[in-house]
Amino acid sequence: MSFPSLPPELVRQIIESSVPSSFHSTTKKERQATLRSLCLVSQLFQSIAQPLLFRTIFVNSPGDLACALASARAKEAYGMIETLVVEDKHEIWTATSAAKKLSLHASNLRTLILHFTRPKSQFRAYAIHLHPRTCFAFRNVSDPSTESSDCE
Amino acid sequence: MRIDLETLQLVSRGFDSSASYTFSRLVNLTIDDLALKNASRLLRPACLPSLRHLALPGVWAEMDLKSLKKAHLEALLPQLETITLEAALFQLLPVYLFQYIDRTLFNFNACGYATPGSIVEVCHLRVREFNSQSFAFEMIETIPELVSLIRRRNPINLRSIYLHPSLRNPANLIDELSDLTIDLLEVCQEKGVEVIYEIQPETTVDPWISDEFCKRSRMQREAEGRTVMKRC
Repeated sequence: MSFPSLPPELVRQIIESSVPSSFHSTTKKERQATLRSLCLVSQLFQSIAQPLLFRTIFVNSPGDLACALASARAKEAYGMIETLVVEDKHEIWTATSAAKKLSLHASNLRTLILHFTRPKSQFRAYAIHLHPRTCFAFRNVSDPSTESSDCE
Repeated sequence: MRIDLETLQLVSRGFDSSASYTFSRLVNLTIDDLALKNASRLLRPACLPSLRHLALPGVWAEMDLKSLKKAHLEALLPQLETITLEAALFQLLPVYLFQYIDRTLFNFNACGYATPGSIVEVCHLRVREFNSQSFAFEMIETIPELVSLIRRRNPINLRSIYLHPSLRNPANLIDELSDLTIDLLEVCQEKGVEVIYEIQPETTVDPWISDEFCKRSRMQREAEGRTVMKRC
């Protein structure tokens, strides 16, 4: 039996078992690279691999965020995003922007992992607030105008 | 739009829960020592009605006990199926946490810490960084102490030990690590301690709540439930 003639359920199981089921820092690059390659194999592969590709968004730079959001928009994949991992080594706005954008579009977001590595002194101006309706929002304490007001 | 988070992991000084919010569907919460300082209003059953799994990485020092006390964890504990704590906290463990020891997984960092004698009084232990060859020198001292403690303790409370999957085949490790691993596996077998291999958190963005531990705890509870039903 040739691969394309396999039942889609079986192809799905093969693809899902070829990558780790959840996010881990040691496997994230390999996982995403594998899924990107699988998306290019055929329409069937793409239909299975693409949701897995967008399931977890890992952001640790403004560039990452821009790429992830642009791809999600182009592929109409916001609804596929289930996990957002923000490791903010650079600018607090990475997390702020990610939170704002995703709280607007990612209706299926279920897992949020936030790690901020900025020194304490540089953090004084910021606070993370958990928003009652969207569950999270970010605010610059010294500048109330930056509050995430578009989170509904 | 409403987002109902099921998993939240906060490793941050910037977290602020000065207002009271409800996460109606949150099942897994990981909150480190820094975020815990400001989370006192979050860790309440009314705010986290669905919470079942809680991990507190980095909470082990005396000063962290203040944050724990302020957080009033006592009320939240009965609803939890698993708790993940640092092994270094065990010696300072508040009484209200001690009674949940059979559903607590203790993280033991094999590198850079002395091995407390009390470590084998826990029921479930995850030995971290044991697979890292760059720390082999420190582990050459630490792991034999752990092995010796397990061997000497009779009877032993320790029921399971969680190791990195790379330790499943000690022959692939460098000689020193290979010998240490074999010793540890042997003493576990001798004492009836179950060895479970599972990928472990390596950075603070990795999941701290062990899937295997959650699964086994659930199975244990179901088995206990069946036993009670039969008795009835």
